[in-house]
Amino acid sequence: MDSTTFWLPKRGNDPDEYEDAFAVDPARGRFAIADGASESSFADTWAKLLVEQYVESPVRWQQRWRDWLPSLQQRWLDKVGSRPLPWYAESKFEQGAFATFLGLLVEPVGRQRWWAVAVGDSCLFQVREDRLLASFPLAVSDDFGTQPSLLGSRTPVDIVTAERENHCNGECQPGDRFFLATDALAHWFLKQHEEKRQPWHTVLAACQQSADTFVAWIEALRDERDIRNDDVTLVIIDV
Amino acid sequence: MPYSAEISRVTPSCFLFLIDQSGSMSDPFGGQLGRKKAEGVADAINRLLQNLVIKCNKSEGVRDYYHVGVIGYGRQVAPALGGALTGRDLVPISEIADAPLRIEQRVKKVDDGAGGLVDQTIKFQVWFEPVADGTTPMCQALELARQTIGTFIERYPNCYPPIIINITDGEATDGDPEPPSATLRSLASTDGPVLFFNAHVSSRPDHPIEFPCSETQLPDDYARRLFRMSSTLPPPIQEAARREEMQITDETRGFVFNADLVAVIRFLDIGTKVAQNLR
Repeated sequence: MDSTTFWLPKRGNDPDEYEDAFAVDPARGRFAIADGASESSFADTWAKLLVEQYVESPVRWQQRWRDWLPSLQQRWLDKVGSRPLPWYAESKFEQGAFATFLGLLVEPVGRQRWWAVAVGDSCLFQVREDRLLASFPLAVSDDFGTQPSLLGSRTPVDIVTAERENHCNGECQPGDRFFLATDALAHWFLKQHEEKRQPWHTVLAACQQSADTFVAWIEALRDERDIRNDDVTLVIIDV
Repeated sequence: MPYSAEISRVTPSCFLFLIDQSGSMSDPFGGQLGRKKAEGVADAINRLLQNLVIKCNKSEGVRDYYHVGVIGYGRQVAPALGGALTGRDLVPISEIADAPLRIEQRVKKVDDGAGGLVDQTIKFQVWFEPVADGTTPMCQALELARQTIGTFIERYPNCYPPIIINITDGEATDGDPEPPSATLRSLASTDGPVLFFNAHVSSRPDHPIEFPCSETQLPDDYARRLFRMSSTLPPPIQEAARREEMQITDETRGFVFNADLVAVIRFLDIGTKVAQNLR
């Protein structure tokens, strides 16, 4: 299994203001992306903790969520809460940081199944033989909004499991491709598909050469207002 | 589509507050004994500034998504921020964040989670002190607002339309404020006309009214005039308000009676929102 990751901050922001996060471990078939909610503070730290934990975790996360989310929340608290904060940062710290999250586990050998878990609108697309086989957790471009479900650094774990998480699984075979994308690009992808196009061709053509051609392509989409100006993260996985 | 411009540090938007500081502001507020309208107004503006600063706060500090000004009208019509910001008309929000005059400790009743209330001490930032002195030159204040906003739009012609919030008891003494408010509302960026909202602070003990859609439900002529002076809420703000389950129609205006306008700040989009019910 191979994977390639591309990312770009929102136009007008510096690279260190990028609040998406990604982590991959192709050898173990683990991939994760997250999108820190821009109205919360320290969301970049939270998004990074989430994806790293998912990819490093020794067990299948979706079954063990209750076991490790509280300790991850404590790590966020330790990282962020250890420094003195100005008055205006205190209130957002009290609310906690928020992020959307998508984790994908592909069995590297054997009968090759995949499992995914998601909170919010970071999406996965499975493509086989020039057809879109799976779209998760959103399947329609109209379902994107400015208030997705979010995973909070201070959200009680019961609320996460009861109300916000989505699960999906399926089978995959050599030659399949997965595309993981945060909301701006995922929205574009689904809209293209709804217009009877094959967005994966466009994505692959733009990403084939280098990170530069990916950047040029996203900037062109932004110029045309075909894509919202937001952080963009894309992971392409070749099974 | 109007009111869709991105609010960013490169293309910031603007909030301008017009504050009635006239002598009539020393009258009681909303039928509450011992509390003056001027105190209600000072609390309202300080709370708006707190919320705006917090909205613009990111991990590394406050981002200048907005430039903010306060014009007081009473004995004089002039910029009314104090301390290090004295005399300035529009100030990047990060400078507001760093320059409150003082921070008060206030006691607030909060839900104790067991059906009761407990006292909680909160910090309350103060930029603006209550003032009640002189007449009510609202027309002059509207003219100064027009100049200030005109200059901002020249500098940022593609900005999200500036929002002007007038907090007053409505008793203008220098003429009919409806014509100058119409002139102010006619200013526009390429993203749409500016938004002029009014908060009516009254001595009447009536229930607060938020975002009405017709003047017939308002209690007096001052309220009805301020309603007519206020912009209707543009569709993107209507949509955000409906998500908070407010009763909104196409006729709803940015007007409140004995209530605050903090909700307006929540309705503005500077990125992925964290819905109230998610916290």
